[in-house]
Amino acid sequence: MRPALARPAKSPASPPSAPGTAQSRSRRFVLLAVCWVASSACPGEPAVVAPPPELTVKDHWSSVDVADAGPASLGPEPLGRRSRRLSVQQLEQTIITLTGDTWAVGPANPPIEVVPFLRTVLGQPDYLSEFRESLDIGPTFTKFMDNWASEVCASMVVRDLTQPNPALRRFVMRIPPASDAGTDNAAVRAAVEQNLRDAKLHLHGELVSPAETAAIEPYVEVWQQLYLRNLADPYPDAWAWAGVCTLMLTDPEFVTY
Amino acid sequence: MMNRLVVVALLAAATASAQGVCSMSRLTQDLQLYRRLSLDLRGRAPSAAEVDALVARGALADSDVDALLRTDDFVKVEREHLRADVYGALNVIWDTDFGLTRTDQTSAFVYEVSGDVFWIPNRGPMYRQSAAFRTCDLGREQKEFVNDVPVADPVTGREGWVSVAPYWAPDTTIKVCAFDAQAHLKGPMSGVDCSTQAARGARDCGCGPDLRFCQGYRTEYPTPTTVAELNRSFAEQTTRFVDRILRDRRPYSDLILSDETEVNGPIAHYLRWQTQTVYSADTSSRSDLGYPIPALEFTETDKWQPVRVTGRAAGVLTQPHFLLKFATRRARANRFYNAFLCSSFQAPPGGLPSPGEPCSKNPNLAERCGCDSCHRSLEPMSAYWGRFAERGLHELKLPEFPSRDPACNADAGPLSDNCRQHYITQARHPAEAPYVGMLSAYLFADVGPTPFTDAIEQGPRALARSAVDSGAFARCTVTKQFTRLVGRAPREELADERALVDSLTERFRASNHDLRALVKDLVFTRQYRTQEGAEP
Repeated sequence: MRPALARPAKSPASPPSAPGTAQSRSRRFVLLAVCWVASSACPGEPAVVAPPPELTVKDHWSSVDVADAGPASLGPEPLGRRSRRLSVQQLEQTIITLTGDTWAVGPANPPIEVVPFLRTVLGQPDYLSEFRESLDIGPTFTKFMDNWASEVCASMVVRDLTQPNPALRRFVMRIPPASDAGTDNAAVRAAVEQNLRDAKLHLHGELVSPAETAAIEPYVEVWQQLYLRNLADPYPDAWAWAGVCTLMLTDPEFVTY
Repeated sequence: MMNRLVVVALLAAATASAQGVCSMSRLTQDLQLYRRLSLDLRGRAPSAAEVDALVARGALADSDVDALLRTDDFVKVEREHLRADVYGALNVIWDTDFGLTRTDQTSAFVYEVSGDVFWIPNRGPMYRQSAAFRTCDLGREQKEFVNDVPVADPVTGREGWVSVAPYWAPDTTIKVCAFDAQAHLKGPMSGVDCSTQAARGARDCGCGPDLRFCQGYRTEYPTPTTVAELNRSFAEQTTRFVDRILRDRRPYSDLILSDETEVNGPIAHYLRWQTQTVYSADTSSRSDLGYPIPALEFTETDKWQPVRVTGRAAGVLTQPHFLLKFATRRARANRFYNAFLCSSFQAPPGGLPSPGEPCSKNPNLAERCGCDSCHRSLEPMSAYWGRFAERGLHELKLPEFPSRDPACNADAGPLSDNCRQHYITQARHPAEAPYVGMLSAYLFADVGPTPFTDAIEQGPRALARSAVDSGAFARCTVTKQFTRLVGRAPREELADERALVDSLTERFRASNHDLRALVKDLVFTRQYRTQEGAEP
């Protein structure tokens, strides 16, 4: 049975004074700091407390059972366009456009951009020994894409949670609940689903109708599992949204086209 | 017969604009297509606001494609696409072994040493009478001069430093070893012109006024060296050339036909003062690149002045960057063959015969067995660059470079630099004897079924013109754009797809090689709109 959905913590009424933690770019540190700020503004206990369930979403490094799809076809190649991975340049520009953030680390001001150091590792040619971009989705790409997504998602979620104007948010609760959902789990779930539809539209270019739940159900699951796992944290929905965002940015729907 | 492409385009446009309200699945398809178009045409997915606007409109329209094609990002995407084919490592040219950065045998190249004093390498023995003294006395300012030439310490043989405002940062002063900093245009004792190669051995010639004859090397300079600034400028020169064609919607064929370019301060300074003084054994340099050098200072890095190149200019094919990047005639022809004719040279089936076989001894590569399968085409094609310096960036113009120069015969006496670099000076095989004293491109150019001596004098523009007029350039452009957008090469073994490429090529040529129109045609094809594995 699916665990009950907990209420997402409210965003602070006004953004906290520029948290110094934002410069550190340490995801955990930033999230903890924001949690502290948020908890002082929103100290209420979650409405529902349930034991954290086991994660049900597969990661990309565990073995999986592959269903037998029958014999492969050796017929003529299809004539359509071949799907492919986004190039490094496309990923950089797309992630900046959609999250407003780059992957940057360190105490320097401005912080050091990471992706320029990884471009050739991620497949970009150096035009000396390699002239064609490698668009393979290999272990190295997958690992760094995970890092990249989690870093920009953490920054974006922190910024969104400290942004009182929903119209200026990029990912978290761009569409606020119609009214204060309070402890009404159905209303909270509806708000989360609505925002996941919004994210699905903007990050994957997929329109999910209000009547349709299959396309967003995996993300709802992840959201609530992460939320429940971090109930001890004063701001569990930050973890939930950051996790869902990371999942969406590493999804084939995002990294291929 | 209305061609198939037009039908596809009309259907797509009509469907997109019909009714104004689409079903949910149709809108989702449009959203996916918009994401694909946005990534392919401007290098990124649409923003949230753009997606929201499309949802509000209800359907993707023809004008959405036009809007994407009008963006500056489209220019960047196409430039990067071309970069892989034509001009490659723009940003790393100075890390490689190209002539401009070579310093061996140079007479004028100042380095930083001991924090703040500049000096020229390799001149210690000439200035200071001892190879052990590569630099001046770094702790002493030079005060004593005779005829404006520094007087060295009688015991150590070393001079001190002087303060100079260098051309790369004229508002500052730096310390330079006094021999290296000599500002004479003409050696006061030797009488040598200090701006020429003849000054290499002159003790009374230095870097000239403001150090103008020398390159500067200083780590804290905004770019690492003035050489790096020069290379960056040559790279940007090509980028600007390509951008202008794409941005101003000029015929794409201008890429290999245009005689226009732009020059900025570092390039102008190099051409005006340094083509002789930063001479290296590997680089052939001349001030005359076919246009008057604009009156720009080195520091005017962002000021670009348009110039029209006379002579054999052929778009990117004769841009300095292309000529340096592809340093030999054969490399240049090979790149042209790959990038603009979509062909490649490959060994014959079964590989090359043994070098021990008699037919492998033929000195003419166009006839040597095995080699001939490529060089039959490569030699005539490379001849079009026969009047461009190899490992250099200038034309070999008359009268300085006649087709035959009797002085360029190793048996006739000492050879000039021109002879060593650009002429056949000795016969390594009896068959080469008639060519001694001729420009190197003439070797075996007059033999075989189709002699190509005319190509040498015509230059690469004739080759480019022939590719454009024959339609080979257009077909190759269509093939490359198809491959870029559809993610695979066109399958010309299928009649339908071959007809599509024919039709696109025809339309591209009829549009006077309008690249935007070609890309728009392509994104309306079934091949682009149908995602492999998805339902058509």
